Amino acid sequence: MLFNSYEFLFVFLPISLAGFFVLARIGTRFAAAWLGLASLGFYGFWNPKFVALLLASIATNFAFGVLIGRQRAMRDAKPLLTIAVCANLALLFYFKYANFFLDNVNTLSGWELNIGTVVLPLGISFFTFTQIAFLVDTYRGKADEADFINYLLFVTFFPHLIAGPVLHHGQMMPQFRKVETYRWNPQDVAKGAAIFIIGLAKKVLIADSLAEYATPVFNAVAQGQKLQFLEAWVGALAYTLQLYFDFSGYSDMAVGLALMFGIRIPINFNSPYKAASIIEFWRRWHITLSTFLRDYLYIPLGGSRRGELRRFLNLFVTMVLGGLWHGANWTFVVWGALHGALLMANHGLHVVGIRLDRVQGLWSMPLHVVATALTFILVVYAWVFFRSDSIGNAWSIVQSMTLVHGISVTPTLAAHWPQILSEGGFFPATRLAGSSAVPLIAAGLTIVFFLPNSQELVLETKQRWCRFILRRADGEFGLRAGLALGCVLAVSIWSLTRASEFLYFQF
Amino acid sequence: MKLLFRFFLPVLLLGIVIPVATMALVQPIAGDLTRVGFLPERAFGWNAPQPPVLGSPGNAASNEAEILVVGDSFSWTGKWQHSAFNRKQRYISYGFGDICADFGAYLQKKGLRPETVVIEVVERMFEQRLLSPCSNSELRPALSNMSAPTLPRRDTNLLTGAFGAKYAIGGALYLARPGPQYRAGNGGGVHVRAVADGCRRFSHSDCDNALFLGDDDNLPSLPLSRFDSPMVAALNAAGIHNIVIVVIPNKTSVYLRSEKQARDADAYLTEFGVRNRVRTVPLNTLFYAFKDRYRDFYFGNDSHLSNEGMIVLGRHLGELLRSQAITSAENGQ
Repeated sequence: MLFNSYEFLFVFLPISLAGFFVLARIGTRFAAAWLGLASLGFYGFWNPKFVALLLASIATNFAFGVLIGRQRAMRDAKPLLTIAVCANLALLFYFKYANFFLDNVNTLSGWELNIGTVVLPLGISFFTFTQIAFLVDTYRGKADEADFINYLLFVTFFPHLIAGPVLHHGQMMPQFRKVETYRWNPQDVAKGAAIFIIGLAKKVLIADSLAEYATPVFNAVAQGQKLQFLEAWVGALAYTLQLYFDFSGYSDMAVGLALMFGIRIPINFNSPYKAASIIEFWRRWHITLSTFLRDYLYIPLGGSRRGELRRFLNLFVTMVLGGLWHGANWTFVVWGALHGALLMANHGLHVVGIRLDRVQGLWSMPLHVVATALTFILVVYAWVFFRSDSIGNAWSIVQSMTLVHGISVTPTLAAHWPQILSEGGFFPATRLAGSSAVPLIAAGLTIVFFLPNSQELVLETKQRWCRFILRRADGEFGLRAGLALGCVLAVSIWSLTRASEFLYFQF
Repeated sequence: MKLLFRFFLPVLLLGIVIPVATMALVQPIAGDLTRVGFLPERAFGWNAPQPPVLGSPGNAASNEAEILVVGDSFSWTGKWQHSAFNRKQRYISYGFGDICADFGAYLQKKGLRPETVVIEVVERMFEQRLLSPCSNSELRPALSNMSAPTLPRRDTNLLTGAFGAKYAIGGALYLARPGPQYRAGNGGGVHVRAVADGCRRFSHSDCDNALFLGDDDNLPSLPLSRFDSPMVAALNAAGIHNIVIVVIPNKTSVYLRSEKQARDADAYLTEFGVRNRVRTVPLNTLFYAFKDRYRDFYFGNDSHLSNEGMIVLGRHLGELLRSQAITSAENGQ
């Protein structure tokens, strides 16, 4: 079930919300169980067959967690942890990477190994990683959960189940145990609804609109077309913005929905394209995955404890594996490697003492702008590999973006600018409608660079104009907030004529 | 309680109640005739499933295209082209602009060097497109490019589509219509007309009636009395002699006129082809038969062919073009 669907908005959400708070009056255990069951229903709506797989995974991991927790010595628990982590990774490998692995083996060896089509269960990467973290922390003595209902709810809690944020049991379990979580809190519901509405609008109004300009460009290259400079950039920028508005919109909806149930889940995005370095970008983009990779991959690999060279290697390996986590394709590996290399370069500059935050005075602001622009451009180039279906196609687009395939501009450019835009003169391969693509991309760039993000809008409200719209002097939502968000919700619902999946569902 | 009135009620009323009410009372408008005529989709929107069809207005860059399609709204979506041409046939589609005597110069400017030009025109525009003299002397783009509809259009999207038109208040107008000749909107209007055997030919709810564009009656339909085509002359002057003229019959001609009229229209097109030394594709008799073979051959709410209609048209044209190409090659032409 999609958050941006009528059945979710008008059936699932009201029923699950009402059931949760009504049952909470009888007992918090009933409410937790209700939410767990509702979450399973949410998951089963996509494909009921995979509910059994999800339940089996949860039950197995919970049992291993209990067994690991009962061991007195870490030495005794280690074999159990190894078995459990391997079982999780084997499950993930079979569903996500087996065909990719066999394809590569077949290519190298000339064999014809085949296991047929494997349907990728929704959210398997997310619920696998969430549970591996739980097992590792139980082994380390940082977690100890003996309540199956709470554990079930932690893994299946529907706002995060399919596309994150990647939750940590340490953030969730205490909230499930608190009685206050189950009390109707209109302030939380209002704030949650506000964040949800903003996320819905980001997905439905902006991301889906941008997709109409990103998809044709990448499809054209997949069909063997050579792009020219401007259409390659339009496609790359459209996808860069689409991915941000799509995934951050989904994450906003998840945060908002959780808050409506009284649960606070961590933010996943903090205006990532405002980052002035790749290091900062990864502190702002998909924050929960970055944190997971840092805590459960980078640090166990040795982190920065074994010298600079090893630290750089660890960074690179972490990013490559992080790339592979997104999907079974070499393009994701290249994307991860690119970011790994950029992070190494960024840390290398720090090692030799070149740091933007040390620049003071007159040059501070211009350098910050240049660094932000440079970071953004590098990120855009890397997204080309992330989006393309093969490295060759990605390379073709990168070449086009770097003027290798020329630029389609006529000598009569100045005189016929509006006509050229409307006729797709700049876009000979895709014949995009430039007159609508360019303003849409410009609007998207304005939002990501100059406007506050959804958390800042709803929870912090620093900007004066935001306060004017959303908050009263006492800090609560005013009538203007209700009217503004009501209008945004109405437009979003009117636009739900075609439910489109979120990009991160495939990961 | 204050939050209820300040926040939740405005959000619920504006954000949920009003959109749900509008969606419950009126349906999004999908057809051009329901949109222009402010008529209800609930009555005229097709209900039987349609085959999915890809839109592909072109598979080649301007300078690589062997086949140039110049067409009107029947070609904009690229649906029939996708069915007509195989991967080996490099084609590109353009929309009609101010076609004129400087056609050749414009093709050169665009880098177009087609071996074959397919002119697609709807019957009611045949006289204007093919028989009217070129009066335009100013060098302006004679052809306008079409945007490729690679994704299903979400016309309700505020940022990209005709948002307001989707929720036009058609229901009340339709219920208050004075009779079968009800006219609504402007630009020629839309007619609600009874169709013989309508429920076998259409799947929409009010299938005894269907919508027809007023311009089908207002503008000249085939057969006509004139034959000389300035546009064909302009193409010939540009060195293009392999020309195929495809005339899509008006929906009115297919569903409301007689078989004899269809035969007369096809006879005219054959004669037109002979006199102008071009290949024509007579479709009137064929479509007259197809309306009984394919339910919703034209959409009930639209002046255009349905997905199925586009596929059938594409296959027919594709076979015809390939067989004629083979014949031409065999004859050494």
